[in-house]
Formats: sequence, C-alpha cells, structure tokens
Amino acid sequence: MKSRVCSLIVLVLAGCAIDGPGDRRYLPADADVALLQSAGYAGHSSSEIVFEASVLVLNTFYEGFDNDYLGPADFQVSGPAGSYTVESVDAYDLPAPAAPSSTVFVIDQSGSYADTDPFNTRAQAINKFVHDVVSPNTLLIGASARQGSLSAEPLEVQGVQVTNGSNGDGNYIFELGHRTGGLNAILDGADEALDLLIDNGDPVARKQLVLLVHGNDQSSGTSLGSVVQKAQHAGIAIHVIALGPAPDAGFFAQLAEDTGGMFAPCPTGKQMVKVFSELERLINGPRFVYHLRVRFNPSQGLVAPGTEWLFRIGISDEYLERTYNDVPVKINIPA
Amino acid sequence: MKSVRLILISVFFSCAGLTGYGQRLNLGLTFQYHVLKQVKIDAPMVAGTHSYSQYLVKDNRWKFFSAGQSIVIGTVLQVDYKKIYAVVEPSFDLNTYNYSLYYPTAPGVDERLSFHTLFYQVDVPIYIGYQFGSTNLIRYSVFAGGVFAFPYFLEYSFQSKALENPQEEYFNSADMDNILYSREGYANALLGFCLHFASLGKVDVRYQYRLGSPGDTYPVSFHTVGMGLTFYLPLKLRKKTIYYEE
Repeated sequence: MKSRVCSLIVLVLAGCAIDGPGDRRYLPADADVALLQSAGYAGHSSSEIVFEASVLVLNTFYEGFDNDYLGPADFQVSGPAGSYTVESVDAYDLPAPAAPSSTVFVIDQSGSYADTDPFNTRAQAINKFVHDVVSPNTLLIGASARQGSLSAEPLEVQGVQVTNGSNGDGNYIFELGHRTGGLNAILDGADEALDLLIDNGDPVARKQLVLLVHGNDQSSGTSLGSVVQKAQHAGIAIHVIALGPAPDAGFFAQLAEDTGGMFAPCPTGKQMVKVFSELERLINGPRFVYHLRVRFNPSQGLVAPGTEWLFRIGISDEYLERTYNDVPVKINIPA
Repeated sequence: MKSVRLILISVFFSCAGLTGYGQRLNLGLTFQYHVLKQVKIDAPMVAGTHSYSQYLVKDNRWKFFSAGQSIVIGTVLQVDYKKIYAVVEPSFDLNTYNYSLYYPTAPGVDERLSFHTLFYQVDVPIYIGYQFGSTNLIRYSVFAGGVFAFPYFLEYSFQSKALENPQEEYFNSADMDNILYSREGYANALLGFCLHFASLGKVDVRYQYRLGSPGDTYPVSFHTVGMGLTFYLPLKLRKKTIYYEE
C-alpha cells in the first residue's frame, strides 16, 4: 500500500509543469513615430508653394499595421513664416510589392551612441529586423565609419547574407556595440553599399539601402548629389532612419525623397526601435499612407526658382492623445 | 522525461523490495546546504529566448554563494545490508541560481545582467553507498546515485549593474528560459563521501552534476557541492546485528 502511495505521489509530481511566458518576443518598442513615405514639389508661383507628402504613422498600440483613422485636423504643417493650408488628406493602402527585395543595411558606427542609445537597443531592434526578413528577400549587413574600429573603411560588410529569417551572424550586430568611434562617413559608406547592390544584387529584386545614422557626415568625399544620382540610376531606394537630434533632417530627408525611400526621424531610441520593429513590413509588406497636399504662402519675400524649402508636418492623434515626431519635408523649387 | 519517470518508479519499487532483505532499516531527517556551485554555458554568446537580445558569456567560474544556493530538507529511508546501503531521500529543495551575462553597450563597456532563478522543487535522491572503513564510533563510506528533481514553482528575475537602467524596459527577465532553466523535471548524478556516527546519523559531502542541459540550443552544465546532515529517528524498525556491531 505504501509503495502504491509513493509511486502515485511521484507520478503526480512528475506530471507537474509550470506555466511559462508566451512565445511573443520582447522588444522595447513602445513608442509612436511618423515616417515620411515620399514628398514632392507640386507647383509654385512667386507667392506660394504647393507640395505633396505621404506619411506613415506607427502607433504604440499597433503591431503589424499602421494608424489609419487620422483626419485633416490631426495634421499641422510648419516651417518658414507664412500661412499653411492643408488642402487635402487622403488615406490609402499601398499593397505589398510583388518583387522580392534585396537590401543592404548600413549602421553608422561613428562617434558615440552614449546620448542617443546608451543601452544599445539598436542591436536588439536590428536583430528583429534581421529575423523578420525571409526568403526570397535578402539582407546584407554592414557598418560605416572612418578612423574608427572597423576592419574596412568607409564600409565594413561582414558577409552576413540573411535569408529565411535566420540570424546568420547575430553576434556581429551586437559586437558592433563595442566598435563605435571615428568619423561619420555615411555618404562614402552609402556609395560603397550602392556598388554592392549594383554588382551583386538580384537583377529582378527591388534594391533597397537602409541607413541608420545618428550624426552628420564629417569625412566623405562623395557628395549627396552623386549618391542620389547613382541610386536613381540603379533604381535603388535609400531609406534613412535618423536617431537623435543631431542628424540634419533636411539633408537626410532629401536623400530619401530623391531616391524614393522613406525617412524616419527618431528623436528617441525607442522610436528607432519601433521603426525597426516594423521595418521589414514597411519594405516588403503593405502599408497605410496618408497623402497630404499643402499650400504655403510666405509672409515675406518671394518664392524664387532653384530655392530649397524645409517644412515640417506635425501629427497629433486626438483620439489617443498622442503627439508624433515632426516629419521634415524638403522641397526644391525647379530652376 | 518519460524515461526518468520510469526509472524513478522502478527504483522505488526496488527499494521497497530491498527492505525485505535489509539487515537494518533507518528512517531519518536530512538537512542539506549547497553553496558551492558552477553554472557553465559553453558558448561565447547566447540569444535571449523571449527577446531579440544577445548576451556575452564571460564568467563560468565556480562560486561560493554568489552562484546560488540550495537548501534541502527531507526524509531519509536507508537500508543497510552488510557494508552496502541504499538510500532514498524525498526532499523539499529551495534551489536558487544566479548567473551573470554581459550585454555590449559601448567600446570597453558591457552591462552586467544577473539572471536569478528560484525553484521550489521536490528532490528524490536515490543512491547506494559502500562503507569501506570503520572505527568504534565512525564509519566511512562513499556513495553514488542520482537525484531526480521535480520543480513545481519557478520564479525568475534579473538585475542590472547600471542602476540608471530601467531594466524591464530594455531586457526580458525570462530570457534564460530553456537556457538556464526549464519547467520540466530533470536528473542529476550524485557522488559523495559520508561519515556515519554509529546509529545516530551521518554527515556527508556531496557533489551533484545535472544530466543534460535545460534547453536544446546551448550546452549548459550545472555543478553543485554541498553538505548534508542526517539524523536517524529512534524507531524500532528492522534491526539485525550488522557487521560493525559484531
């Protein structure tokens, strides 16, 4: 009898299982962020500028899809002194692209991330992006700096070709946290990355270059114009994620706008993480986009051909009582 | 796990049968304290189970106290037959582990994250000993066997060395799930040396080695050294004259 009781107790204990956490993987991504999808000049006269911009709104509460209920009153445009009129706000779905993507991702390793990302959350965020990329899409990861700790300048590519969501060498991404420093050479790095895409990319794939920057270019010999020209010629979209207050928003917004890429200004590290958490979908999946048409009448001076104008689109979500980051839009008036 | 259960049940019935042949049957209480531990992850870097973090492995050393402790209270059923004895010790084990991993943040700077695991578990050590020497008062023995552990409560947490870091915002405390712990029962190998004090009790030093890793991804080994103190209850159970009394 005793041995029966003993064996019963043992069986009951052996069958016990402690509940564990769910399968969802944690990412510190609870932030709201707005991105510039595209922007462009629509017309002008000596006393007015008309431009169009498309923005995406990523919300804290949403994962895998975009904020889709904002109205015209939720958008505010600012910039040079004058009057602004949001003439229209249209919302529409951008379907997932048919062709697979071939992406090179370049991390700006210059200087220090101590102020903008002291706990290296970018490594976790990039790692998620790497995991999200699945075949037939491909991803190559590199890092850029000059006079820093990289093995090649201005672009180090680890040869991490990632497909099928396998984290080919996740260690590389995290060890980059140890190798920040040197001067920003993001344009030279982007130029070499474009060459990689042109030489090695799948000819039928949509070619994408993603840049994570946290400062302005300090040492590149390559100009913005030549990078844009090379990208346009090869049909490569350059997406820019700008972390912190340092990057020149107009400069990087123009780089993205002119090449058909997205621009994500992220004042905080968590906004950067939020962008990375959705980045694979933004590149390869469907998106929900707000398209704005804006009329601007300057209060002083005339609109001259060949001039550049930097505007900012502010977004406030009254329903959720959220205010998003301003989205910069750079408009060039044709000569 | 199924095989562990089968082994366990088989050994239980075997022990029950052995009592019929034993010269002496003792029932007692045991108190054990394990403070020397080593947790060793055999990989340079580990990926968190429930996040996208990866952590550097830098410290696999043996540690006193700081790698965790086990406090064991249990019962002892011991059957002696000539110089050999067999023991079953169903016990409650408050078993803790601490393991530090490092997250790269800047050149020359890693954030140390200490992952803590607390188990309430039922341990069933089953072992056989051989008494190889004796004096009028003390007998010496070595023993070997297994410890079958069945956790029924698990708590995990972590701490960061950087106090300004609101850790939960950046890392997941469950990241060592299926790396440093799992929720299933497991078996340990057991080896020890024991001093027996007449029929009063015994003191032993025991070494345990966990068989297999908690998860499949990383090879992780657990070594524990502790001391045990056993008192036999003054019960008149089976008691024949045994070799050292002749």
